[in-house]
Amino acid sequence: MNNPIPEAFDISQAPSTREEKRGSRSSAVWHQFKRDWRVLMTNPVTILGVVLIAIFGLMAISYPLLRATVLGAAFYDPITGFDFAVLHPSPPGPGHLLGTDSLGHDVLSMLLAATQPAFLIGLAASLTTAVISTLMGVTAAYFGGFVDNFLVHIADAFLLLPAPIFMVIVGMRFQDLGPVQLGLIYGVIAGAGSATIVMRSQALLVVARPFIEAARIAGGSSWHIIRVHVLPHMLPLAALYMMLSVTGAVVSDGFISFFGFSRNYLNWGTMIYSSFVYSSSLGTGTEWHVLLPPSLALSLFAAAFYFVSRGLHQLADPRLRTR
Amino acid sequence: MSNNNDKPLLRVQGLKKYFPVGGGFLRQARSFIHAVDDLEFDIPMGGSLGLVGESGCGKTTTGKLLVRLHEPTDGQIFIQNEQGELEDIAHRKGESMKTFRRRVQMIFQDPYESLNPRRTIYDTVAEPLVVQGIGTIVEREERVAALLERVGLTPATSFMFRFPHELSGGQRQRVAIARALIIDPVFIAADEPTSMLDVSIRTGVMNLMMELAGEMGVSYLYITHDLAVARYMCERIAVMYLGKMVERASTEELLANPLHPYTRALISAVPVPDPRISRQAIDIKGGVSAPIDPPPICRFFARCPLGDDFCENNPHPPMEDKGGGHYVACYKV
Amino acid sequence: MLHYLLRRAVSGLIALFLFLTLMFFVSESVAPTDFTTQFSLLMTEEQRAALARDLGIDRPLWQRYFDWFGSLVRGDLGFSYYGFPVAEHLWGLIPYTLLVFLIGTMIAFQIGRWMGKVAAWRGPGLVNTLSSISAIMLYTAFPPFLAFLVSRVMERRLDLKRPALGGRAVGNVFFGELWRSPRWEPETVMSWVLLTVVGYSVLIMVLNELLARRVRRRMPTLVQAAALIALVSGTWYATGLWPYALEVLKVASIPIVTFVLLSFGETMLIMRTSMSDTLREDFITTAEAKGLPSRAIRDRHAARTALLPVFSRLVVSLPYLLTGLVILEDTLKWPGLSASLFNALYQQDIPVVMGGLVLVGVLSAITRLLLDVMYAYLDPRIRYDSGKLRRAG
Repeated sequence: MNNPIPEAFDISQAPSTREEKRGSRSSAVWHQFKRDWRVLMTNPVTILGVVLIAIFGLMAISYPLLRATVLGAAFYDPITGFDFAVLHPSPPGPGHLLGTDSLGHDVLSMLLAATQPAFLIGLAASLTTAVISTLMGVTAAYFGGFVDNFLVHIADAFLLLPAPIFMVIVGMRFQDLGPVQLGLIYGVIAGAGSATIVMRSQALLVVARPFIEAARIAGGSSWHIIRVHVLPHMLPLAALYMMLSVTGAVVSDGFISFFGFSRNYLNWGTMIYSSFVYSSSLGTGTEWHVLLPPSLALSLFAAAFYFVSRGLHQLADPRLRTR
Repeated sequence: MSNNNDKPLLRVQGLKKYFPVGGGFLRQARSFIHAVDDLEFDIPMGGSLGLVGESGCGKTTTGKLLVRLHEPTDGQIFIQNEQGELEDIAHRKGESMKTFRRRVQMIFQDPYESLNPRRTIYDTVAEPLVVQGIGTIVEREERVAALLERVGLTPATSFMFRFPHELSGGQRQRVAIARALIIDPVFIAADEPTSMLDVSIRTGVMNLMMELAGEMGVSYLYITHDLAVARYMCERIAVMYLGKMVERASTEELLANPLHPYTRALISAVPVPDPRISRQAIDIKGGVSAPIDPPPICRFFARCPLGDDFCENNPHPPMEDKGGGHYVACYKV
Repeated sequence: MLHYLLRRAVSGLIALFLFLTLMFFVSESVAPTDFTTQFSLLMTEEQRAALARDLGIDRPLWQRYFDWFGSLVRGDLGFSYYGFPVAEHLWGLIPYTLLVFLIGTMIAFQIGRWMGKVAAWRGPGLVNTLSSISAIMLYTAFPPFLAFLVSRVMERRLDLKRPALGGRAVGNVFFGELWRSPRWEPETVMSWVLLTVVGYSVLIMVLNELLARRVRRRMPTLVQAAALIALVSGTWYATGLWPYALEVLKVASIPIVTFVLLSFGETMLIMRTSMSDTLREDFITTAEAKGLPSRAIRDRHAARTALLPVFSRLVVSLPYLLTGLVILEDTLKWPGLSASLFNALYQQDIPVVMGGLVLVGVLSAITRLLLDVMYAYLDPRIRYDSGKLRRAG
């Protein structure tokens, strides 16, 4: 892994003039962010992840625009569209850039339509993971004793829980859950399990540092110390687990659809599932142009956030940073 | 500053701190580390006490007890309140604890770890004011600037919005001193504040501490393993061994006339830069161990060159005044 | 150390209990349909109600929960709604899952460890970046898709006939001459394959440690691998297991390869990170200054220390590995645990679903305990922990 910029030599960005004192707090946060961002951008894997996420972001934004302009409802609607002019499944061509599947759906249009739900699930899952794991981890580490024991037992139980299998069961039992709800459920499981364990051990390290004692001597309440001194040190790790949570949630959502439990929104898993099912039941052989785009999209989407997490790992691990 | 000069600023009686070992969930610990065991001392208004001992002897724990980072297992810590009366703060909690925090501060050993790396120097120094709700933003800023200048970080404006990693070790320790002094405390516990600094800048920081303490009328407890530093900084010195205080006297008396065998061994271990002086080396046996459930006899017995049957069959000796406020805990002197 | 392991075991049991309780209530919770729904075309309302009463699914939730847990504690997994005993059903599936899980994990661990070690030793560069990217791509790849690609490539190579993808995993995956009138059933063969491979691996590991204690030297990895292969194949040959074992491994190679591809990436990434951290430590500089050969520094000093975080992270990612396994079993129609879980889920056959989950839970709890043992063994701070001197000073 590349060495981050040694911070001790990096004083160029220090806001040190009196003019900036009015925005002391916000400028400190901004300063920190800029420094972290620069460390992140030294990692080529992370850069690749950011680029991929940007591309998926473009896909999500472009879909409603394209639907309103180029992709007319009759031919291109991912659920009801059907093009009578061609034989289905049709290979990629000028009318359908990625071809159509056995039922006459336009593959490109389905691919784009599934991007936004993927982001929604990821967002819901990652935020929930971050909030829950930070809350549980910091509480356990800061208060210790009985609270710590109790929370660690809960986290241990969640650690045993195979989240994707659980998601498939939930998805089957409650078939009308939307992307946000599924993301929330996944976030709770991932956040209360592995993320809590790791956040707790990080918080234990932070809580043991003398500046926490200094803040206690200053008369700071527990809430003040957690908010001002502990939480900022948890942020990179929380961000790391947010990224991992996106990966897990999107893949789990793919599983639910892949097992044929149809959802009320379109996702890549459904596309993969139907390509498998129709190619075996219709005996058409593998329709690579139907199977590949959603599979690659799902895998790359999951990988992109994992790529970013590699850089965050570097940021979160104190041993990889100089003082 | 006070009309009660006959009363000490700080009085410690029977102070104990035991840490449980090997206990767990729903299981009582069976052994205890007697980190601090039955300490007694006074610190007069504006005075200073040096606490000397090997690492692991409980000096840092004592410091942390005095500023109530730990809650004592037993004993009292009296400190003069604003009305000049002694108040026991050993088991204080909540709001009254917060007002106590205004009067007592601490300076830590490691200037790299005692400042939050994600906060600016201003944030760090002003924190006690902010937490205690003292002053407006403008007042706080002026006060921080003035104090930063006073501790030698000039011009203050160029330091206020920097981060700790942009400062040298000595500068950071000056920031820590400024943070400790910003709310006008009456007492500071300084835990080896110069041991992590380069030798060349130690004296500067020590002088600064003494000057400021004199100016602002602050008493301090100076924790160190270095007798020379204690001699330079303090009027009185107390020696600790495995959680017990073994000797306490004014600095010159203690150095010129050490009575306890452990103190003598400590002093004989200090190198003397004069080849003509020859001292009798004092032998003590073995090494220091952790005071886990120690036997009730004298803590120093196992290593003592003077120990005999009497020491072995009697409890740890009490502190006795051998004249002129020179206290020793030993049956044999 | 015993105390430490006991504590971990108790905490594992508590976790298992909480896990099963949660899963029970989710599986049994307010579902839009129940087991009898699928017969709504064949039966009248009264018949369905009678069936529900027969199976006991008309009773309140908490009553079913206590019943189920009560019999679980007695070691009884109950009966499927179709009438067969769950334990027996699961017993037939275990060899399939264990074969892929254990052998796959062993291979993935060795590959990941080796690749991580080499990558960290090389330091940053193009090779390192590319290897991370491909490891992550495999790790986050959608398992069914990866399984599909692997089976496409390998079926042709191995000339295997396999059921088409897309449906549920049921029935036999073993066709061909050998299985017309076999001396052993495939499940028996699998159990023996597992027993020999795992048994000899443990034996070699123990021997290696004894060797390290006595002469302070270990066998090179290649020698260990060769010894393992020789011992295992020798035993198979002597017992006449050889053709069957080979055939089983041939068919199982597709899920195993897929599982290895899915899971080695994480080991590699953690190993690399922790190895690069270790290489920055002072004791490595000391070893260099002593003039030790760089191979010795890499393998004996750095790699062994760097292994600790790998174990602790594997514990965390265990459920994900198991899930990946179950999903790819289903995709590849490999009749392991997935056959119990997902088929039963479709049919709302809750006792079988819960049986499968008990197995998942027990499997991950046991693996976790094993990893704890390894961790405790590798970490002298735990090995020599007498419960004292932790906080002194």
